[in-house]
Amino acid sequence: MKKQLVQGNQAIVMAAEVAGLKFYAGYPITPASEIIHELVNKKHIKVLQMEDEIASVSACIGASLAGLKAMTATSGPGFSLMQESIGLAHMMEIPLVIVNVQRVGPSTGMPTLPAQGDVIQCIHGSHGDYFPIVFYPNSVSELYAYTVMAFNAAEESMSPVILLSDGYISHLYETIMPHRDFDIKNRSRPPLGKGDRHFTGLSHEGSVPRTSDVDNYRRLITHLYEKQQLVAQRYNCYEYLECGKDTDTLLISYGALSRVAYYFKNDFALYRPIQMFPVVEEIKIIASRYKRILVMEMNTGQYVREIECILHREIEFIPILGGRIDLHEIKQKIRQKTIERNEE
Amino acid sequence: MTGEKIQKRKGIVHINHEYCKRCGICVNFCPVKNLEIRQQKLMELNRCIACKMCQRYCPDIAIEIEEVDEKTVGTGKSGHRNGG
Amino acid sequence: MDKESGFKRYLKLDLLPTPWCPGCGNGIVLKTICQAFDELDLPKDGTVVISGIGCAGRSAGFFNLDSVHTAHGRAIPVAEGIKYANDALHVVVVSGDGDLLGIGANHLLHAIRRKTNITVVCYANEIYAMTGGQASPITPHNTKTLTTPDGNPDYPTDVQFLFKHHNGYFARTSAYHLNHMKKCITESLEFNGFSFVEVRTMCIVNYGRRLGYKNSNEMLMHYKELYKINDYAEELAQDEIGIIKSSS
Ligand code: SF4
Ligand code: SF4
Ligand code: SF4
Repeated sequence: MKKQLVQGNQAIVMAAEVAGLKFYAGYPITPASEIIHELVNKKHIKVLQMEDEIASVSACIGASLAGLKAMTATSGPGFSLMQESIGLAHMMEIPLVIVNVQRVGPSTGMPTLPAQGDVIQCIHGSHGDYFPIVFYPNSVSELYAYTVMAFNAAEESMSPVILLSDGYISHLYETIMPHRDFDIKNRSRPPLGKGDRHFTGLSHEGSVPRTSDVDNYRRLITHLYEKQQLVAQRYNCYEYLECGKDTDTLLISYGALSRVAYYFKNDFALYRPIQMFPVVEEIKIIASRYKRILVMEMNTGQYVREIECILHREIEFIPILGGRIDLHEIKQKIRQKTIERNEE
Repeated sequence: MTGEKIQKRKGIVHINHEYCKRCGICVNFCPVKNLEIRQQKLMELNRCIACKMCQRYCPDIAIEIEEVDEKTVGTGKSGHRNGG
Repeated sequence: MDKESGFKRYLKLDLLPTPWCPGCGNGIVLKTICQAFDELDLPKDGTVVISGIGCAGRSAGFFNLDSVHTAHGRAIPVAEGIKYANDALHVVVVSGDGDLLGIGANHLLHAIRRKTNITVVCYANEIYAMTGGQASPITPHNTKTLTTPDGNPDYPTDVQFLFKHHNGYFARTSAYHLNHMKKCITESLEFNGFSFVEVRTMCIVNYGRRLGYKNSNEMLMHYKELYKINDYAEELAQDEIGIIKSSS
């Protein structure tokens, strides 16, 4: 096995192949398009360019029902369009992988620049209650590994798993070791065309729609919730770096921004969620060792609320709005925050 | 009532009252006015000629015609059954 | 099972009656689709039915086959995903005019262009029925609905021309013309390419009544009087039903 210099989006494709991807449907969008460009050259993978992202995720749902491992990739605007069908896929328990290479929003925003504005959309973008598993790696080799994890988690949870990336790491070139040393999970549900099952977005009991049976609905949602938690617990991925010297501060960041956080490894302890949702519970134990929790992310405060929710304590927040990751700016903001704190 | 006045019956009408929604489509299509909705219930009048128009147009698969040899069926008796 | 009731093997009889109103034409279309399946003896293992949302969309759940009830307007792309994933399957979409020609029209356009080998049966009742009776993309001009109280200012869309252009199969038929409907659906299932059968059918409760029809019989009689059959024509007029099939 030889090391290879690959781009982030390319690593996603290489890993998807290893994980058993057989069907891809997508729509062109910056900064995710390299994924479909790579895939069209793979003869054993059916690739469709659809008319929009709604059709793309719908076709993936169909292909997944028909027994194939399916994936689609997009960025914010396309992810917004997919939301209704993501809810459908949760309700019908359809395994698939959705890659969202984040760019600056809202709306068309700044298409070529990275951001982290779609974090909460991953779990609340569709209507109703559903409980997605979301991974967000921060390097090309992690994109490779977590693409495989995403496929596995999708099969285990029978649900659409979201792989977050951003315009920065997806366009980054790094050397990776493209190993195949994974335990690949496969489907046990027979493919479509082998029975009399009915898959529906209506609340249902097995194959039968139950449109006004509240108790059945509550059982169904509880089942979906518990199933997702159970599978997520097998992954629970995060990175925690204790500080070389004594510190009272834990700096939390993820994705592209967390690469800059490594610069502070001699000043602060570092925590990086890789499994963004369901939120990894270990953060409670880790955080209890520190007086000060500092969260930075490339949005006006999305994941920090999840952290607050789980820790029930005061959290300091540093927004690094999308578009630019500048070490000097970040240093300055952290210094400023520290001064403010000491003055209080 | 004499046998000649009653149209010879060629079909037994099976109505599934659980499926029947009493929409009246079959009543309208029956060429011999063998079907009627009375007191919220579809009834037949024992003069079915087995044209099967009712069965063809019923949206709810609630009515079926069993073709019979006219000699074997008494003219006055009800052939009505619940097909459920 | 005899010839006439052979179609029942394609239905989940234990789930009947359907939730549709008394006299709703959807049941006639559902039954005729199953009769066409029976005519071709489509294998139960190997045939799948996909629907969108609406009164017609509920029909998928009554087929005794694997079936999928998708999001509003998305039956066609889900069906395409299934077909491209497993070409051996017979893939049939059943849904209404609001679902297929309104919210899902973009997908229809592109499925015609891609010539995906699936069949679509459109229960065309000219109205958004499940939501109470709002104008649909094929509600005739000047017709009063909940959202067009002064009469529909728009003109109905007519998709037959798209099929002509892309060598697809298009047929328009009606719930009155049972033999014709069955012929159209059977042919469309046999067609190698994208096929679409638009069945004019009656929504009595949220459409017909407001237009002055006393019951669905009157609507059926209206179809009988209105529609002339003109099969294998170049083009169908508004008062014609028939098949437009390209040579492909
Ligand atoms: S057509 Fe069918 S549902 Fe309607 S009244 Fe007759 S038997 Fe009943
Ligand atoms: S088969 Fe014909 S004659 Fe007999 S009840 Fe039906 S419609 Fe009437
Ligand atoms: S509302 Fe109209 S289309 Fe819907 S079930 Fe009733 S009659 Fe049929």
